[in-house]
Formats: sequence, structure tokens, C-alpha cells
Amino acid sequence: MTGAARRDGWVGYAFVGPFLLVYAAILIVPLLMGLWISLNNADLFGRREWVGLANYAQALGDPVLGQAFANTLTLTLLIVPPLTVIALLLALALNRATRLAAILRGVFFSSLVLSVTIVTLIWRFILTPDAGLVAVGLGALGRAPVPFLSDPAYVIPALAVTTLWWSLGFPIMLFLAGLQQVPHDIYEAAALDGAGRWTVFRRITLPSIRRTLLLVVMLQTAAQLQIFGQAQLLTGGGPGGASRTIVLYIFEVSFGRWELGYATAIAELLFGMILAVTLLQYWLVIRHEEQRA
Amino acid sequence: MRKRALAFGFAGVLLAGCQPADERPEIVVQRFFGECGAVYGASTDVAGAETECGILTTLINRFAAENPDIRVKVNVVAWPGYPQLAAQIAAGDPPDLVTMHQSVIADYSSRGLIEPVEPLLAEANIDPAAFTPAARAGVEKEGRLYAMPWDTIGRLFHVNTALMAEAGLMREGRPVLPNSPEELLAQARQFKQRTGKPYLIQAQVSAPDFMVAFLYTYLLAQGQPIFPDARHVRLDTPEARRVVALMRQLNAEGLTTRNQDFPAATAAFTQGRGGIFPVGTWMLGPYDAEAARRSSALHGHYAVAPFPRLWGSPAPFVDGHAWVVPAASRSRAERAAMARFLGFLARYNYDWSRTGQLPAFAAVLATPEFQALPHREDIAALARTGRQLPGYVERQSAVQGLIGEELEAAITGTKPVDAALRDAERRVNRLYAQMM
Amino acid sequence: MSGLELIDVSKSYGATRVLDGVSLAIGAGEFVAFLGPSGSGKSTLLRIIAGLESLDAGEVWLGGERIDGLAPGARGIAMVFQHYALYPHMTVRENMAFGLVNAGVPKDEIARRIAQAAETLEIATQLDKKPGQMSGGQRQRVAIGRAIVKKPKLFLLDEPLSNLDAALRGRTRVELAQLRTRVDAALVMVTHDQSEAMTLADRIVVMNDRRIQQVGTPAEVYARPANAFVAGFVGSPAMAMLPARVAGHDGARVRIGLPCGADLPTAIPAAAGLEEGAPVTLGLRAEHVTLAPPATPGLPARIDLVERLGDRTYLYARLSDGSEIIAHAPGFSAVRPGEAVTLAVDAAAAHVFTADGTAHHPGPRA
Repeated sequence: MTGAARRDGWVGYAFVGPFLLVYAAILIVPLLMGLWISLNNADLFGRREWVGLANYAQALGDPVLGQAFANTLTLTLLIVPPLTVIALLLALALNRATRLAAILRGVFFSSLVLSVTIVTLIWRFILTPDAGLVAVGLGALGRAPVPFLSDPAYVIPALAVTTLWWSLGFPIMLFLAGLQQVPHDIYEAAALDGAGRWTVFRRITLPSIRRTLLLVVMLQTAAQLQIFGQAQLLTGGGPGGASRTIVLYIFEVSFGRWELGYATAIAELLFGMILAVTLLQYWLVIRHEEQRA
Repeated sequence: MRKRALAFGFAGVLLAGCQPADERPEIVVQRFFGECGAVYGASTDVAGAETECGILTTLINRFAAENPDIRVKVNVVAWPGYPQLAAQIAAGDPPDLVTMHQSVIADYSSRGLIEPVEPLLAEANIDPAAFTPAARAGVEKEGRLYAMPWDTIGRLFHVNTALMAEAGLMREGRPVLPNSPEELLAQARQFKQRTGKPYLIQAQVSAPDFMVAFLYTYLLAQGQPIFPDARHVRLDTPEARRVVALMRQLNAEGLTTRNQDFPAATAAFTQGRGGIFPVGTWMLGPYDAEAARRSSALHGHYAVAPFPRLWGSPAPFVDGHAWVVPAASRSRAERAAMARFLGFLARYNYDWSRTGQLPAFAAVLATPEFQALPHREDIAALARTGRQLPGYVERQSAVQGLIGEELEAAITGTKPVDAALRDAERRVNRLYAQMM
Repeated sequence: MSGLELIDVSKSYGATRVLDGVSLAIGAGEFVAFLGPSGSGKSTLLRIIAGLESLDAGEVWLGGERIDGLAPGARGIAMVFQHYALYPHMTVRENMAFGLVNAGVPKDEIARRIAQAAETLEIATQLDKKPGQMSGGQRQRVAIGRAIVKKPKLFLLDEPLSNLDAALRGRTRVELAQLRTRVDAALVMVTHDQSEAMTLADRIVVMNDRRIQQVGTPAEVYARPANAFVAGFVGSPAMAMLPARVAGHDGARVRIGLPCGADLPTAIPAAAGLEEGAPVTLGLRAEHVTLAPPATPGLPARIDLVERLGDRTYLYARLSDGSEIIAHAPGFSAVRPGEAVTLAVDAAAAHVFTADGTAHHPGPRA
């Protein structure tokens, strides 16, 4: 390499260096530390005792973790597909230049800026059987209130609805961005090709926003597999663990029971699961795309 | 030239913004009991404050006002605040004084995470002999005192006497309370039949402490050692099954409210939607204030009694609040400030007892003001006879959560009683086995 | 008339009028170019025919059927877009088949049409590639192929040559001319390049300022422009417009006097508006102005700019009164800018435009 090129290389590293350092310190180092801690019987205050893979063995045989895993999986399946579909439909409907569309875009995005505490507070008011909004509505129809937050059959759907309401904004924005990058003239060409609205949607719009769809699904899956705030604040993981999610369990084990080693092992398992799921999604979609010329 | 002048000017403005360093010692006080700044703000009127939150807020405000040479920083945490505290200690940045339940002290003391308070008590001129027996027992672990006790919490039946009268369960102005599980069910059914409302109001959602207290009370009453040693719990016993079966029966027959969390249950009692709210001494003050209002459903119809004897002997289960000092190195000035704070709190123990909790200082029990507080003669004995869990029992907060979860499943009928108790025992024992 | 017919079409965007009462009739199999500068309304007109814009007033008929109320896909029209608008995620084959599939054409028929079109356009080897893997010229052929297979009654071409570089433009021009012979539909092309329109179209529709200025064959539009705008727009280099005055009449022909003093006997018949003394504009094309042979009378001028194209040279000159004029010389002329020359004008080929824009052209040679 010539002197100038080498200098350029140095400058490049100097620009990227600070960020890489922070990234390594905040993400990579704790990841590796966590791996190490998970191989120990560790408590929150510094005691460590090497146990090898015993924490992982315990995790795989823990029925409470199994229940948390099932809950989390159910929640993710209940949230991600409807969220994607609804966000896409809303983005299609709001992808206009009218004033009303602009106002509605702001409205749908606004729930995202609320913190999880406010969101769960709002939904508690809506869902509680004691004079909550839904209960009052059911009462007006002459029906008994439904205990959304305390009946094992209803808690997971209740969490799903709360999360859906909260999370709509970001996927809508992503879809809007993707839709607006589709060149307008191919819709005109499709119109001249006699394509009806459903055909246009299925064969023009969807394939054009394929990558955006993938992004939304990947991000949301990773996010919903880690649901924590809604479960802790709305139902406390109850009743009887019916709405306990994996991250809530990790929180309880680490900060409630002080079993840091076990909690870290569960966290590593969760990390592996999220990694596997998102890579699988990526591979499934990208393998159909050919190289560009 | 202009640029330089601007730069100097800007620097000057920045420097002018610097304040002289604050040399006062700072104490960080961390507490639960709720956030009521909207009502009490900066008020220092302790005598006029109501409820745990109000009295404590005004107390701390008053201390800060009377001691301008100490900087007081208050952290309000959501009940019970133990995850936060654990994180703060693990991070090496704990507060100076923290409210803690006496049942939980053993966890922290056994690991050296909190320090013995005898030096601070001595500096504050507080004699441990002044504590009530129950309070003293709650803070003494392995011969050392690890906290300044603040109160004793007893479990009480809060009674709506108007509804009880309607149900035919009043005699000579006192509510008729059952002496056995069968009597309880019979009276509960009678109540429901005559008034159409549930006999009991209970918080069963997100309130594990509620149900666990009920269980502990009646296990202790039957003389069953719940925690035979530091590493085991025994719940899969006929005594426990009896208690849980009773709770399950009450739910199944609709003799109690269901699906309510703690705020909902508290409000339900105020609105007269049930006969008895079995909760604790801390609601005594607020409900008394409520009953004083003419328009309230409880006006003139409010009574309290300790949990009735249903099995074995009457053995009231108590806990208590206390102020602990997380272990950390502190300057002389800070320690002196902390001692002054503890001394201040000790002087206002009577005001704290206006909440309904029993005072930790025996002298307060004897004062005419305390005895003039409504209903106190019904419950004062708790301070003497109340029993806690054995001092070696650790991880109470986590254990309570586990047992509470299984109890909830058993009581609502999701799980059979035996299975729930077995699972609770298994899970707690596993927790203890993991403990280092 | 079984071709395209536009009757009094008008369109406004809000308060802005973009088309004002446009009427036109095109025969089946005709190749018509809409020629005009940007903003003239030609693209809007094309999109109205295609159904991509609605019209505010008027009617559009194709093949005897009224189509302005129909969806774009139901009009029997195919369009080649300026930027091709190929579906990027579909192969060439799927691109070409899309419209036919939507129309319910049977599979074997689709395959047959695609094979035939691919053969004609020489893209048979590209059928399984995606547009992103092809060059610009290939993509255009795919766009044309997509239009061909639909066997439409009318082809619309939106600025087909503007995206291409000079070499490709020439080749594509030839291809479009060939396309015309292969299909029996009408073709409508929109362009701002008058040479494209002149070489490809049967008839040119010159548009300006929201209106049709003239409809005619290239020869008509070139030799007998309907007004000063058309005269100045068609033909390269543009016709020189000289301010002048009617000097008098030579029998039935008008004589024009220039400010520099010259007196030109034109071949334009006397008519209303051409009274003696009336101010007019004289239009002269470069091919009718040459360098006067030495010692012959002519217009004195000074050369401003010289453009040598190889087979001829254009001389941009200025007359003594400052009017600009363009002359031509064969081959590589040695004339240099700044030189004073004498120009010989073929006055019999001059056009005259009166103040109201009416054009007067040389009559038939006596």
C-alpha cells in the first residue's frame, strides 16, 4: 500500500474507532462475561463457584422455564403476524399526500413514544374487571366483566393486544418508507397491464417491499421474544405463571432470587434462540434473491 | 479579534454558572410506601398528615427543614423495592438508609450486605431496651441488631359492622367472628344469603403477600414449623392443606371477592361491597379516617379485630418495617447525619403509629395519645404476642412470591391443592438448594 | 374512423389549465408524434389517452369505442414508459406475460406471443434474466416487447429516445421505424425532439401552450408552419425571424423591406394583413441563405458564430440593423467569426408572419 493509502486507512480506523470501542465495551464484553458467569453458580454480590454446564442442564429441565418459554412463544406468534399485517394495511392506506393521512400517521405513531409504564397503566384501566372500560362496555350490554388480567385463559391475549397497540407505529413507518421507494411508474404499467387491486398488491407491491417486510418481521420477532415490561406491570407474570415471559423469569431469578449464574444461563439460551430465529427468517427470504448484475 | 472576545465571553458565562461546592453531608433515604408528593409536597405538618405515605413524607420534609446542614435525598421505590436494592448493592452504590421488612433482614445480614446499627443507635441515644419484644425480635439476628425497628405489622380483620348487622352477625355491638373453619363457612354463607354480598374482600391478583400471610398465620397457629431449618420449607402437610382448602372453598362458593388486585380490594371495602377485609394494621389509619366522613359507607360502622382463631391457638403472625443501613464506607459527617435521622424518626414513632401499625417503641404503647387512638385496645397485644418467622429464614421476598403464585393457582381452582403445595415446596426447596 | 379520436379534451390541475379543448383524429396504423416543449401538455394528453389521468371535459374514442370512462387496462392500449417501468422482481418472461395473464389469455398463446416478440426484438436469450441484469437498450426492448405481446389497438411511447445516448438513439430510431412496420396498430409518440418526430412520424401534432398548434405531415409542418411558434420549433437550426415591413406589392406578390434597407421580392400572395407598411416578421431557413458569390448584390452581415458539421457549415450572422440570421455554406467553410460577408437570400422561399401569428407561405411557383 502506498503511503497515502495507508494514511487513509489509519484515518478510517480513527473515525470508526471510538464507536467500535464503545460497542465492544457495552455489547461484546458483557456478552462474553455473561457466558463466563453462566458456567458458575453465582450470586448477585460477587460469589462464584464453577459448575460447568449444570445451570444449562437445570434450565432445560425447569418446568417453570418451560412454561415461560411456551408463553413467550405464544405471545410472539400472537403478536408478530397480526402486527405485520395491520401495519402493512395501515401503511398502504396512509400512503397518500392528503392532510388527513398525515394527521392519522401522527396518531398511529404516537403510541410508540409512550413508555411501557404509561402504556400498561392505560391498558390496566381498560382491561380491569373493576370498572374498567371494557367491563363497563360489557355491563352496558348486560354481560359480566371478563377478568382479563387474572384469568389464565385471557392474560396472554391481553398482553398481546396491549403490545399490538403500543408497537404499531414503528412498522408503519418502515412500511411507509419501503412503499415510497417503489417507483410510481410500475404501478401505472400494472394499471395498463390490466391488474386489479389484489393482483397489484400480491404481485407488485409485496414483492417490491420484500426486504422491508423481512426487516419488520425480524425486528418484531426479536423484540417480542423479549417482552418484559408489559408482563411485569400488567399481570406480574401471573396468575400462576400463565403470563410469565422468559425475560421476566430472568429478572425474577436474578434480582429476586439472586441466582445470577442460572439467570445468565437462561439469558444465553434466549440469545441463542433469537439469533437462530432471525437468521432463519433472513435465510428463508434472501435465498430467493439473485445477485445483482 | 471579535472571535476571541466571543470565546472569552462564552467561557466567562460558563464559569459563572459554576456554584460553590455543596459541603453539607448528604444522606440518601430510600423508601417504599408510595409517592404522594401531589398531596403532601413540601408540607412539614406531620400531625395533620394521614396514611403511611403522607406521614412519612411530611416526616422527612420536617427533618430536612429542621436540619438545614444536612442534605436529604429521598428515593421512592415501588413496593417492596428489593430488586432495586439488590441492583444498587451489586453496583456498589447503595443508599444510606432503606426501609425493609423485618422478615427480609436475614438475607442481607447473613451476607454482610447491611451493617449492624448499634453504633448509630448509640450515637442517636436510642436504647434497644426501649423496643417492643416483637420489634426487637424482628431486627436481632445472631445476637446483633441489624436495623432500627419502625413498627410491627399485624394482620387484622377490618369489619363493616353495618353489613354484619344485616347478616345477623353482630352481638352487643361487636362482630361475631368464627372459631373454626366450619363456623367461618357457615357465617360466610349466612352473610351472603342475607346481604347478597361476599363475606370477605380479598386481593388475589398480584398480591402474593396477602395470601401467604393468611397461610402463615394459620400454620403458625397450628404449631407447624413452616421452615424447619434454613434450607427447607414444609408445605405439603395436612395442616397446610386444610388452610388452603378453606381458602379454595371460599372462592368456589363466591363467599369472597375475586379477580381484584390490592387497590381494587381496598376501594371495595371503602365502598361497602363486602363484609370483612382481612388485611393489615396499616389500613387502620386510612379506614378510620374514611369512617369519620359522614358520607362514607363505613361511617360509624367500622371495627377491627385480629385474625380469629380457626385452628390451634390464637397466634398472630406479624412482620414489621425497619430501617437498615447497607454496608458502605461513609464519612464521619455522614454517619452523624444518619444518626440524627434515626433519632428523629424514633421521636415521631407515635405519629407513625397513627397509620394503624403498632409502634416499635414500648413507651409509645403506654402513652394516653396512643391509647386514645381508635381501636387500638383491640390490637395492642399484638406488639407483645405477635410471632414472626424464625430468624434464620432467608429469601423471604422471593419465597413469598413463589408460594403466593402456587397459592393463587390453588385458590382459584387452576391447580389441585395438593399439587400446588407440593410444587410450592419443591420450588422453594430448590431455591434454597441453589443459595450460596 | 377506427383509430384514435380526441374530442375537445380539457384538463386542469386545480386552477391551472393544462389542456384546452384539444381535438384530434388519428387513423388506424398511423404513427403520430406529439411534439412540443415541456409544459405544452403533450405528456398529459398521452396519459389521458392511456387512462392514467382523468379528463375534465371531452371524449376519447378508440376503434369506434368510447374509452375515456374505462380503466387503463381495459382500453386496448399498450404504453412504453420513458424509464421503461419494468417490474424489477420479475424475469423478462414474467414481465411480458403479466398483462396477458391478467387478461386471461391461455398459457400456450402467451408463450407463443412472447417467443415471437423476443425473436423480433432479439432478446430471446434474455428471457430468464431480471431487468436489473440488463443494459438500458435491452431494457427498452423488453419494454417494447411487453407492449407488443398485448396486441393492442394503440401503442403509446413516452419520450422513447430521451434516455439513450447518441449511438443508441440512432439504433433505436431504426428499431422503432421497423416496429411500425411489424404491427398494425396506431402509434402515438411523445417527444420534445423535433428530429425524432420528423424522421419517425406520419403526422406531427405540434403542441404549445396547452393547445395544438398544427397537425400535419412532416413536410407540411416543415414547409408550411401554421404560425411563428411552429416555424421556430421545427427544423434545425431554427428559422431566423427578422423584423420587417411590407414594402409593397409586385403584382400579386408581396415585397418585404428589411430595416437594413434591403428589399426582398417574396413569392407570397397578397392577402389581408399584408397591406403596405404593415409590420411583419420575415422567416428564413438557413438552407435558403448562402454566401453571395463575389461582386453580387446581397445583404451585408457580420459573422458571429461558425458551426462546421462536416457536410455543411452554419454561419450565425448579424445584419446591419442587428437582426440575427443564419446562413449555410457547403463543406468546411473558411469563414471566420467577425468577418464581414455578403449574404444571398432566396427570397422566393421566405415566409411572412403577421403580428397576430398568421403565417403566409410562398405560393405555387408560377
